[in-house]
Order: sequence, then structure tokens, then C-alpha cells
Amino acid sequence: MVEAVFWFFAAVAIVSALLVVTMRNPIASAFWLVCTMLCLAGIFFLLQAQFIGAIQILVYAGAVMVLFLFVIMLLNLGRDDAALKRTPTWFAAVLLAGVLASQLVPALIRYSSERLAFEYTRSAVLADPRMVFDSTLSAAQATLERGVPGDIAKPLFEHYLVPFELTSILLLAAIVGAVVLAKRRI
Amino acid sequence: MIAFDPTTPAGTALALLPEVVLSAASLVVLLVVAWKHQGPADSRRAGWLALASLGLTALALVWVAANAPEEPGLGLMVALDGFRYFASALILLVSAGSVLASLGYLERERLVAPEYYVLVLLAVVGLLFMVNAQDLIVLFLGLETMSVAVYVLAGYNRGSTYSAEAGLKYFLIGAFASGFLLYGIALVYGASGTTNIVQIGAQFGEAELSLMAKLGLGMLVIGFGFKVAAVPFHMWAPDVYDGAPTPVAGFMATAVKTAGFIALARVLYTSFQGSVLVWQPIIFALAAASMVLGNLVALAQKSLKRMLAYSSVAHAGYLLCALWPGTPLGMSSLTFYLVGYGVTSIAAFALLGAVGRDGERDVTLGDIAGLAETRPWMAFALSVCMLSLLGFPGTIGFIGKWYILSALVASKFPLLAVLLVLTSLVSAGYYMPVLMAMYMRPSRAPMVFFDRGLAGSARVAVAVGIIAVLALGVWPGPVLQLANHAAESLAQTAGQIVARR
Repeated sequence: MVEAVFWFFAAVAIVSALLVVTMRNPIASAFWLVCTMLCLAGIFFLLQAQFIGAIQILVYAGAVMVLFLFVIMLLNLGRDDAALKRTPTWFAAVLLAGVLASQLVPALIRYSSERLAFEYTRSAVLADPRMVFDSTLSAAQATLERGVPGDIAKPLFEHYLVPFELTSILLLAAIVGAVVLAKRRI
Repeated sequence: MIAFDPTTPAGTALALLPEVVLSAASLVVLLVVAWKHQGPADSRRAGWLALASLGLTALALVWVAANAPEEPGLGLMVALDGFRYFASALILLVSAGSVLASLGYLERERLVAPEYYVLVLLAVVGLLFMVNAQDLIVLFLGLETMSVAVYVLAGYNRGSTYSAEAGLKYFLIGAFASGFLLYGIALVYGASGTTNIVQIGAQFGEAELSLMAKLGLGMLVIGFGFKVAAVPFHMWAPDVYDGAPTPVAGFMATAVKTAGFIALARVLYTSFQGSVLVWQPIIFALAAASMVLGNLVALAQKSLKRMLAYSSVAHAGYLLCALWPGTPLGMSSLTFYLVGYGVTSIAAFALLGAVGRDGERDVTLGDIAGLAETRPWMAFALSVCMLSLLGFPGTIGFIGKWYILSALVASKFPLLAVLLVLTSLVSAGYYMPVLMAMYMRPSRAPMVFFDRGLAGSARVAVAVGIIAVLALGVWPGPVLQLANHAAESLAQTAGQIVARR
């Protein structure tokens, strides 16, 4: 079952990633990028990385994409198809993709799950969330029960509650300030 | 008496009652402003609401001060000591003064946008968090909240390119300073393993600081140096004070400077109390440079606003002198001087805002020539402000400087004291011409001040300021006692660290 879900997300992610680069309309490609991000978030969830999955949706599919769309709409790239097809751009894209692939493919071939496990045990001090946040046994139990997000939530909403709430006031001040500066007239 | 336990979540909320009240009030004002933002009447309403919010916050502050437990325990995010209450009360007072000064000023300059007062309230929330922070994260976030609001306030007069320049300059320099501060916090965290100001002090102790901790300390001082406009981090101050709306410049010179000094003092006295010998030379260099350069450059200024900006740099130097000894006496002279400087400057900037004419941002000596004939009370008030900034006997400025001198002499280091006296003498060279212009020179254009009197609300702010300057100048006892109490409570926290070690 998990494997089927993984293949589904993987396939959709690859297809929508291809559509991102082949779509003519920038807005459409931005929306396909959202789809790719959502599929990646799904894969993160399957890997028990719930926190990263949630952040992936909030930050990438949410905030970053809104920014992308704003830029696209403000720059009005919609009518400028021809400029995107010039050879130097394609050449640079292929070059970058080639460099990335030459790094990624050998690494994926060499990496086995045994090797991953070995490296994980070697670097347990940094990789184990229990070590980072709280080293008591009860905390380890809590991690097992509530998952990684629970482990992040506890310090965030208990010890660091005051800075957390203060951040929201900071953001409010920034929003009010931005609106005031952007108003047409005072 | 309902004592609360600040280690519980509900207790934390009660310990932060003034900040919570003010945040909620600023949201209410924001909502009111969202519906009513058309004419001058709506702007005025927002101003009065902001004043009421500051008053409510002061009540909450009194409640917390009366009911806070004596020994709140260590490792909290917020401090519960007299130092915080004293500084918060001072910040609320000068903020109320700048709101009162803004009421008439904004209307006259046709800046009728009631969001102004929301931004002022949010800036005050940030300032309160700066002075109550017992954790570097809270300190940084408070500073940023204040800065973001003040960046916008400095550039509020969008019709004027100078105001836009002030906003942009303050934003860029402020972002730069925040970078230093954040880097300093990160290095101190790396060296001590905690961001709690008290626990850092316990961690470092009397031992020699590591290189990382020293770098962190240096960057923290640089970050604060920018915020309080100490030489050599003062370059932004004249342009920003000059371009910003005058009440905003007053707010920056008083409330922002107060919070910066209080936070710096808390970090130095609590986190680095065991390494006094490391930071004393830095503070000495900053203090000496600020006093000398601030006073000398102020001599050459033609615009009164720029002159007050350099005078504020010089006063940052005097305040750094008070910080230097690292004793409770020095600390209490710092808090007392902040009161004196705060009430004087808020009145001075309110007066400058009134004599300024729209379209022309520079108020020069020629513009106030003969003010005593047309507006005798304004001339009298401005004279009192100048004399107090100079440190003339009979005003609070004199008591403040005398108190700093006694703290310096008590710590057996008279060099700074000599510098302070000499540079104060130099400062007469630019404060006295203001008096002479108002009283001894004939008025060049008698019609200039025809409709440029103080608005009713600003009159209240100036009157309260002048009465405070004169009354505390001859009878400083009660405020001195409060300042002593504030300094002792900070020393007590430091004592707890020693006891814990």
C-alpha cells in the first residue's frame, strides 16, 4: 500500500515537473510547480518526516509560490514566449541539468540502505532529534508517540512561547508598515 | 495582593500584562482605524485612543510591579525587577509625550493617516519587550518590532524626499545593525550554550572569556551602538532626525535611546558582569568619541534639528559614561539621566515641531530670532530645555550630570569625568546661541509665528516636560530613590548569579 502511494506521488511529481518546464504559459508552469511541491511533501510524509512535509506545503507550495506568481504577474511575462526559447537559455539549462545529473545519478547508484544506516549510526549525535532537544527517556517516549512535530512543538509552544508570540507582533508591525508605505496617498 | 508564579504559562501572561494590554489595545486601534480613516477628526480620535492605550498599559505596569513575586526564579524569558518597571514607565511617559506632540503636528503638515498611531503603539510594544527581555531572543525580537515600526514612521511624510531619505537610511543602517546584533547573539550562544541573559552570566562567571564570547560581546556592543547613535555608529542620526517628522525624531531620541541603553546595561551587567575589564575599554572609547565628536560637530550646525541630533549623539556619550563604572551607582545615574534627557528632549522636539514651517524643513537660528517677543512662553520653554541639555544648575540636566560625575569619581577613574565636564562646557557654544537668538536678536519676520503656536495637546506635553525639568532640578529626591531602587534590583539579579555559582 505504502509503495503504491509512493509510486503515485513519484509519477505525478515527475510528470508535473516535466510540465513545469514545457508549458508555454508561465502561470500554468507555476501551478504545475505547486503540484510538484505537493507531491514531494507527500513523499516526505511517507518517510516519517512529517514536519518537513508540512513545512514544504506551507513554505514552498504556499509562500514561495505566491511570491513567484506575484513576480510573474508584475513582470507580465505572459506574452513573451519567444524570448524564452532562445538558444543560450536552453544551453544553460541543459548544462545545469547535466551537472546535477552527473552528481546525482552515481550517488544514487552507490547508495544502498545498508550504507545509509551505517552513516546514520555514525552521526547519531546530530541526526537524532531526541539528542538535539531533550535527552531524557520520557522525551524519547514522547517522540515515539507524537512524532517529530511534537518534539518541535514542545519547546516552541512552552519554553519559547513568548518569542513565538512576539514574532507575530513583529509581522503585524511589518504588514501595517508595508501597507502604509504602499498606500496611494497619505 | 495576588502574587503570581511566572514559571507557569498563566503567570507568564500576567508577568507580561503591560505588553499584552498594549498589544491588544494596538489591535483595537488598528480596527477602529480600518473603519474610520477619512478626515482629521478620525486621525485625532486614533491619537486619543493611543494615549488611552498607553495609560491603560501604565496601570497594568503598576499592577505587575505591585504583585510580582520577590524571587521570580532564574531562567525566565522576561525580567521582573525594578529596572524593567522604571524603564517601562519612562518609555510610556515619553511615548505619550510624542503622541501628544504628534496630534497637532500631523494635522498641520497634512499627514492625516491614523495608522501613524498604530505604528507608534507597535513600536512601544517592541520597546517594552526590549527593556523586559531576559533572553537575547526576546531582546532581538523586541528590537526588530520597534525598528520595523520606526522605519516606517521616519519615512512617514512621503511627500518629502528628505523624509523618504530618512526612512530608507534608517532602514538600511538598522538592518546592518540588526545583523551585527544577531551575529553577536549567535556567537554568545555558541560560547555559553544558552540565550538567557542570566544564565549566560552564570556560565561565563569570572573566568577569562573565550575568543568567541569576546567577538560576540563586541558585536552586541556594535549593534547597540548603532541603535543609540554612539560615535562611530552615529552617521545616520543627523539625516534621519532631520528628515523624519519632528515628533518621530523626538520619539527616536528619547524612547528608542532609553530602551537601547537599558537593554545594553542589562546585558553588560548581567551576562558579562564577570568580565567588566573586557568591556570597560570599549565603552570608554565609545563614550569619549561620542562626547568629543558629538559636541564639536554640533557647534557647526545651522539647522536646529541637526544640532539636536548631534546633541543627542553627545548625550549618548554621557550615558555611556554612566555605563562605564559597572557599579550600582553608575547604573542608577544612567537611569536618572535617561529620565532627565527624556523629559527635556520630548519638550524640545515638540517645540521645534511647532516653530517649524511646512515646506521648509530646516529651522535655523534666524527663524527663531525674536521669538521671545511674539511667543514669550515658547521662548521660555525652549530656553529651559536648552539649559537642561547643557546641564545648567536648577534643571534636571545638572543633577543628572552631577550624578554621573559622582559615579565616575567614586570608581577612581577621573579621566572620563574630566572629558564630560570639558565637553559640556563646549556644548554651551551651541545651546546658548539659541537663547541669545530668541531674547537678544530682533525678529526678522514677525509674521512667521503668527499661526505657528503650539497646538493644545502639544502644550500639555511641553508643560509637563518643563515642569518636570524644573521640579526635578531642585527636588530630585523621589526619582533618585526610584532610580537607586531600579539599579539595586538589577544588582540583585547579578548577585543571584554569584550565589548560584
